[in-house]
Amino acid sequence: MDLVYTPEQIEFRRKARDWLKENVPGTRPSSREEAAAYDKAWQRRLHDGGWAGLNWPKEYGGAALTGIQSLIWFEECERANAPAYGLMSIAQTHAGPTLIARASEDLKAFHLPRILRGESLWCQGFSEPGAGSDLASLKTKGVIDGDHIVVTGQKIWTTGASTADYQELLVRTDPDSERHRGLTWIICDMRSPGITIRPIETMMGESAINEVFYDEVRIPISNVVGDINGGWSVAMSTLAFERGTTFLRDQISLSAKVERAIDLARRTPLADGRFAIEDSAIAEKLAELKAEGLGHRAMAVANVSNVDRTGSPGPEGSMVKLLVGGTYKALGEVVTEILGLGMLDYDHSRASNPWAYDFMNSWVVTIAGGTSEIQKEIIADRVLELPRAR
Amino acid sequence: MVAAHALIFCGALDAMDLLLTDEQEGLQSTFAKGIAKELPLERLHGAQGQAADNASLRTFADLGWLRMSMPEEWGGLGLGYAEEVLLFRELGRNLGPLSVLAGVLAARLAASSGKLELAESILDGEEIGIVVPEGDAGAASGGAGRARLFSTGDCRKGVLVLPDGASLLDLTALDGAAAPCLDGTLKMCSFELGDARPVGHTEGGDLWWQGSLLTASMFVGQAEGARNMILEYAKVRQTFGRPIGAYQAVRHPIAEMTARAEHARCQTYYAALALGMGRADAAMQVAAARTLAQDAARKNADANIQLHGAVGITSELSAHLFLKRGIVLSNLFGRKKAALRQILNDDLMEV
Ligand SMILES: Cc1cc2nc3c(=O)[nH]c(=O)nc-3n(C[C@H](O)[C@H](O)[C@H](O)COP(=O)(O)OP(=O)(O)OC[C@H]3O[C@@H](n4cnc5c(N)ncnc54)[C@H](O)[C@@H]3O)c2cc1C
Repeated sequence: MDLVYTPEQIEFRRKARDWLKENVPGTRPSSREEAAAYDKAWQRRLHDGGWAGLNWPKEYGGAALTGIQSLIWFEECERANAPAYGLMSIAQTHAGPTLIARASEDLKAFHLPRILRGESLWCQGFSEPGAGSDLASLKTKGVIDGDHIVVTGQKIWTTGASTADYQELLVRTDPDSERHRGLTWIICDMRSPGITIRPIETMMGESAINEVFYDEVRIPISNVVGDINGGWSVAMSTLAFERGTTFLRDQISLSAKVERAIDLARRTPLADGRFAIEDSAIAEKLAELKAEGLGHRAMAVANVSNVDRTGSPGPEGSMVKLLVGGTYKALGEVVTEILGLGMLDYDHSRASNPWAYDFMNSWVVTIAGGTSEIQKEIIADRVLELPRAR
Repeated sequence: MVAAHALIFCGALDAMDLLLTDEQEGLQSTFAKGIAKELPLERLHGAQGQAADNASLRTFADLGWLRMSMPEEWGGLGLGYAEEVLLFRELGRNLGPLSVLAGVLAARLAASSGKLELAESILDGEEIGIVVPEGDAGAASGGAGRARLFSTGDCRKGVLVLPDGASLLDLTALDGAAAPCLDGTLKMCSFELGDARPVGHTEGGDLWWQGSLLTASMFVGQAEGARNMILEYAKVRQTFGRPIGAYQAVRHPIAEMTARAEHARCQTYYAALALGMGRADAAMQVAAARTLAQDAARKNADANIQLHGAVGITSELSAHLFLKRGIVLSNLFGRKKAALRQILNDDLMEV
């Protein structure tokens, strides 16, 4: 155990801080198309500055950062108020790593540079109306026809489908197969004929998620990652990356949000004229959340150290996701208490009231990317080896 | 799959690190084995518990565990808080004697206030109790008010630690009658602070923060101990033809117990390092560790009792002991309220 940064790490932090100071762009626009262009431009700038593919290996154009360096980088991003990956997130944090681990050299050569340079946006087509937590029950059909797979069916909750260039698509290629056998992981070009996208409005008032319909969409077999009917293991590595360090920035942002809430409580009077911070129930709740945030950071340090040492993210990612979700929700509750009626001033855009947005979004945190219940199942199975119900 | 990840995370090991070094791993396993052997939870059922704890204090002293963080001229190893938290986590797991905590703090107090003989006798295993003032800790600085002494057996000295200074008190002259305590594995006496004779004193908050940190570690151990107890039971107890651990209403709380204990453990290790470095945010880090660990210990004690069903509330099972000892610890080094105030008012450190 050691909390001392090496001279190299201190130098790395300084370099990151200086670069971010010069390069952080203005506010992200709210319209979907403009936001997509903004996210791509930011990725291009990261690439040109040498900050693309943070933990991808050098041979694929990545920055090959250690876990601790990634942590430092995200801390500096938070300090500089730099944009998050946004719509680039899937390409950067799980499509790219999955391709590196499992795709053919041709697919790597084509896609990886485009992802790094911010030229392609990706989306994830796993969930279906009948298959969310239970991904193995998916039904979207892929029929092999010569050197193509012809896809028919429907995906849902697809973040960024309307702006995406490519999709991580999971389909059932063996019609007689059950559960996780007979699935194939394939790269779908989102401009292919036969794809229809219908946006779904969220309770925050955005339409970042979509239904995607496939009507005999022809995808070249050369786009398959892994083996035909062997898509389950590819999907599992995608999810392992997703739960690995994808949420690191969110974790760090959460602590900053707690600090802002404390500041809000110092400035906001309650009905009785006292400032919210003078209310002991509010003050204690905020202090508890601050302690939770410190604990999240300590856990992040332990987890990235572990990844640096062993080379693989363990099931700890599920513990962090579970805990962070809880803190998000509790933060929304206490801010609702502080703001009172002010929590209601919301014109269905994040900018109009980030507190209201974040509170509504806390259910996204506990549902998307595997629900809290599923994280508990993962802990019960893989950490505790409890007997299974299934 | 491991190979695939190895490809992605290709960094070398860094200094900034919350994992144990090989030496620390070694120490931890020594503590774990020693304490599991000396202090199995079953000892706390029946009269032999106190005798076992008294004997173990001597054993730990003989093993040098009390002096491991003392400098070499004291026969110590010059180790730090990072190693102490490992010892206290194991003690917490087996509800070890509070006099180990009292001894570590009192020996440091005696040594730094020049009471060398006293320090030696404590390091050799003389039992010291923990003194907790009633009411506001601040009022006790003047030596007034009532206080309670917690100990394993009969002890003649107690250590009183306050946020701004600490005293070693001679309690020989007291008629502080032992009162029955909710935690029946401890001896509790009530006395008038003015009647105790100070035999050593130090100024400053060092012992307060060390005490808070070690209390946090014991809470972490308790949170893990309670989790381990129910985890074992969940694998063997059957209902409706299945082990209860197969039901989500049981699996999920145990998963939550695990995440909570990990959260508190990581924060406690972090706080130990921050305190050892004398970092500007050390008090806040310790207070956060204390808060998270106390919550984890309480919630895990609760879930452990609940998920055992009726046997959970019997005195034969050790589940209640985690709850009761947790209530004792939650009164040491200020209560949670004070820790929360510290957290709220201190600034996050710029890194
Ligand atoms: C904002 C947002 C963005 C998303 N983006 C994408 C995306 O880009 N691509 C994509 O593929 N998917 C995406 N998802 C889908 C997400 O992965 C699923 O919503 C999630 O996995 C849950 O599946 P479900 O919604 O079908 O709920 P269900 O699986 O129907 O679950 C319903 C409830 O039952 C509980 N439950 C289910 N199974 C169990 C079990 N075994 N034990 C205990 N409880 C259980 C769940 O926790 C939940 O509370 C997104 C979701 C959201 C909210």
